Amino acid sequence: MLRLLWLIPAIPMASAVVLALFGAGLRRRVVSIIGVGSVFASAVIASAVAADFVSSPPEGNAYRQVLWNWIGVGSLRLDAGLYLDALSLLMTLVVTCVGALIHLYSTEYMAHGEGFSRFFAYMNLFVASMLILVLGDNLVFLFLGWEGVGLCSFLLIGFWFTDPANVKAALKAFIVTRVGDTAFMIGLFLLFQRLGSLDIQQVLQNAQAQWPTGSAYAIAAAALLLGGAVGKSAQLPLHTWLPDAMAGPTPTSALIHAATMVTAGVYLIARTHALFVLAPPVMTAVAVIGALGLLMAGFSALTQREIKKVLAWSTVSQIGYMFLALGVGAWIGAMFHFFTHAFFKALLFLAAGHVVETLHENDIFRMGGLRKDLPITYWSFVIGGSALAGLPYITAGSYSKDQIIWRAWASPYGHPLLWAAAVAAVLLTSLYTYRLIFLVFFGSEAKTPEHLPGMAMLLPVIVLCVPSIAAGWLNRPPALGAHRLFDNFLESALPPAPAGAHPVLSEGLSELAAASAFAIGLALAWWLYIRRRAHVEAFASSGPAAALHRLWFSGWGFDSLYDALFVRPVVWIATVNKSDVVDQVYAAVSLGSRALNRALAVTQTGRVRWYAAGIAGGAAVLLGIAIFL
Amino acid sequence: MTLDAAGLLAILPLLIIGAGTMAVMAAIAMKRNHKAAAALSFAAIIVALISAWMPSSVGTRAVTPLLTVDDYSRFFTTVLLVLSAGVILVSFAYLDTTAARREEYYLLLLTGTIGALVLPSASHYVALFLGIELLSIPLYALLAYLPHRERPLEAGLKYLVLAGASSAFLLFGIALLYAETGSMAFGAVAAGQLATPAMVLILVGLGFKLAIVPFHLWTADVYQGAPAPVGAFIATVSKGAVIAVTMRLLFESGALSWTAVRMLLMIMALGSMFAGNVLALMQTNVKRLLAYSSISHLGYVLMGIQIGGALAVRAVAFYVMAYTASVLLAFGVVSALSAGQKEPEELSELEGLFWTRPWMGVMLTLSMMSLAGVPLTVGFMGKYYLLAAGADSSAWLLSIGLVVTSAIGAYYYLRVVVAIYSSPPEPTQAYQRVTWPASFALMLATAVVLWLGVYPRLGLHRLDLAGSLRSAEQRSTATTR
Repeated sequence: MLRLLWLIPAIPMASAVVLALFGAGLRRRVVSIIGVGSVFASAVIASAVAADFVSSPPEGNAYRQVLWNWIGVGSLRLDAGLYLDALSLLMTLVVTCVGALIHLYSTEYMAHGEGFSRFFAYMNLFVASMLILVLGDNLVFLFLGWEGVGLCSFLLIGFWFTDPANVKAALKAFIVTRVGDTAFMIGLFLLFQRLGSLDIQQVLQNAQAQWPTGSAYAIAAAALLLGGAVGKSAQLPLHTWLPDAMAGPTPTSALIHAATMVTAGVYLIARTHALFVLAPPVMTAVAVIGALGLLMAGFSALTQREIKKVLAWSTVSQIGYMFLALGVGAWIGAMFHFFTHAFFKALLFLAAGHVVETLHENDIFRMGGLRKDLPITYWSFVIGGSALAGLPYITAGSYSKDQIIWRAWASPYGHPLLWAAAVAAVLLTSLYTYRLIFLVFFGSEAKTPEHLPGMAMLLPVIVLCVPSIAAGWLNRPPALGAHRLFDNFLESALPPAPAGAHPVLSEGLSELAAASAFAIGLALAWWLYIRRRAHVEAFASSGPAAALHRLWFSGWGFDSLYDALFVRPVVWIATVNKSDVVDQVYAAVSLGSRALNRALAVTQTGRVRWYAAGIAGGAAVLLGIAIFL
Repeated sequence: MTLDAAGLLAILPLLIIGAGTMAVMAAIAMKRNHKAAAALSFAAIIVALISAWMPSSVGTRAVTPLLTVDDYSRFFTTVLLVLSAGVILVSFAYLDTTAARREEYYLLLLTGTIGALVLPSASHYVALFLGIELLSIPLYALLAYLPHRERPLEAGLKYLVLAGASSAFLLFGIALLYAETGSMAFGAVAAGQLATPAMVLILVGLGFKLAIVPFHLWTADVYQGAPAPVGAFIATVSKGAVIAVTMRLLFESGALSWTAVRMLLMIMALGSMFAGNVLALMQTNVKRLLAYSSISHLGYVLMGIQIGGALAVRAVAFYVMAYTASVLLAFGVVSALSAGQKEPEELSELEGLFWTRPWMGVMLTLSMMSLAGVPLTVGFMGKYYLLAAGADSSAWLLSIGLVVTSAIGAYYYLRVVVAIYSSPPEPTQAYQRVTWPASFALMLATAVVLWLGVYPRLGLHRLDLAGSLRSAEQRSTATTR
């Protein structure tokens, strides 16, 4: 079965090519079958491969499939090779399964309007790129997928390109992530230059052999890779593209946020964890970026008016948890949160899609009372939201989050401040999540849905409800019998979280703190948005609170900061230098060439005698040079 | 040295083309039939092509003092035969619509091919001169093959006069060398006072054929006047053969290591690169443009020869293939589109070609891209190898010249491409319908341009091209000792 591995990215890739070339001429039904079927086929094969991998693990718990020699120049030899271990298997499963559900959902969501086949071509390419990213066995192949994902995000965010705002958002996503990509590329150059290889396993081995912990090269390389990860995963300071990325169709957001793209950075760090361990300052940076990100994004989510923006900021915040986990060395914890997050975030986006699609409304303050109109949506929102907020012991989110919070304290890389940030963020998450739910589904009915979502939009949501609750049970904390299926599975690929001395707090107490934070958040949300809604609005529009509200609403002003720091100076230089000075050089070359051309054209008289004289003269000159030299 | 059976087998391609010429002549005498004459000529070339690679023809063999058959000559023989076959295919439809008497054309073409085939294996000044004249004399007639038109006649006459003059230089140079060494073999070492002037005079004669600065003035007029397929013949077969013999001559005589010759070669190479590209800059006639571009491309080839060494020999061999395939494609498209008395040679006549004849447009685009040296075409790989050879032996001046002039050249090649894709004029140009022999030849050239551009591993390293030349050099030093 393992030999079928190459099919997993190949099928969606082939389907993308077919749809891109011939999609316009196909009927929508056929496009749906190709577009959705390919990802489902991929998911089935991935499941079969997973079953095979688990039942009879390959030697060394990793399987390598070399497809062909991709690049061979000098000492650089790169294969188009796939590398399957527990980590990439997990990513593959999530990408294909969640991706398949999102594709199915899209058939209905995108049913009206232009560009049906174009949409599925992009989506398939997106999935294929992500699969190449997670399965690639060398950093350049990984980078190919990485860039493919970036390209597809650009195409999909700007899918409705007739609206300039969407194109702007797409450009922003592309350019901002590009900043990170540049760092990533420089990191690749550095690794290749110092370690002489780009094969991931080889690089990690060489790094461990050549670089002592804390060596400058290790720090530089890890920091550069972190730059790439921060861009792709929308973490501080390159997170600004993600909230704007909501310009794309909702299934796109689900795909970007849940299964693909933003988790790429998390995957990259987990994949190259051995390198990060060699660079303790970078580890700290990862943890701090994560902690700051999750707090900052939490506050921003609190003030958003658009349903999808709330979810977008919540993604930044949740990826912050994953970064925090990576930063404290809880690699498996990060992957566990990625795993649960993929389900409940996809669920939330798809459910939000129901609301947006049936109401044609984005603003949560113009919604309300949808509990009765959209019962399935409501319940899935409650399940997904509770998982996001971390409803203790019941939802998947709480299991994965509690582990991270505990590690933020207990790991030798941890720090009480990191722990405090993580717990505070639970409160924030709970607050903004239930604010969203209460505003949209409770209260007085502001707008009634024009129609109800159909089967293709309901089914994926219902299916996703199951893992949003049950996925957490794979890893039960000590209080529930310490049954760690997920940890055991991943331990073949990632080292267990390091244990440190941790006085004062025990894992149970940490969980209790998180649970209390959740409860406080929930209560606060209930009190503010059900009981005293008028108060909160009055408060938010008064004096300093209004200023703070504006700050949070704008995402802490990063956009205007970057605008002032980077965008405007560049635009200024561009306008000043509209008629490029450098162009004058080329203009001179062109003028010179023309003058030379005119001068030489004079020799082309068309007269034989002149030509013959030319031969004789040329011969004389050559002879002269030869003799007198 | 007597001619034995093995020697005859080695020069079988020459003999077969010779026999083919006789057969065509006999066929014409019996019954005029354009198709039969073309088919017979084509068949002769194919058979010759096969015979060049018979198992018996391996290794190096001197056939009489005049000819040496080795990997080097076999490689060029193959290329030249394929090019001749391509020219025949392109000519067929062209002649069908233009000339009244069409059959003799093939006689001339085959005779010229014999001359071309003599040159790569020539290792003796007599063979050199015979080959060059055998190649040139049919060309006078071929150029003027459409005598009722003004330009071809003019081109033929110009070429006749000038080629005659240049041959005089060549002969004089050979005579001087003979006076110096008493031998007509390339390998005869001459170290006396007359050697350098003699070699310069020989270079004048060869430089005229190659249209190298300062002997390039005739090129544009002749290319423009030539019927398009004949232009293709001059640009491909004639150029390729003379390059082959020039390189062998310079290597085997050891002249390549003479300071004066190296200096002159560099001046001529640089001059050709610049003059060719600059002259083509504002040209609107595609045939003249190709003529000027040929000057610059021959400059690049001369650069490779000047550099010397195994890498450069292989680079030159590859470049000859690259350039001839691309230029055959260009002339082929022009001939294929020629209707009756009119050849679409002005840029204005090619405007919107892509929209009326997409395939022809794409092919002409490819050929221009390849001539300009755009990656993924064979022209790029050719330039790349030359540059690699140049960098390898630190020939920086020439390498920089190649890069700079390639940049200048991109301008006029791309102008043709722009014309091809601009919106077609009203009413649209009337082009000839393309027949299958021509389209077969064009597709073949396109395949070469693309295939060798994407996957240039031709196995040239398996042919011992430079080894052939070096061994001859060694042989010559051995005989003088």
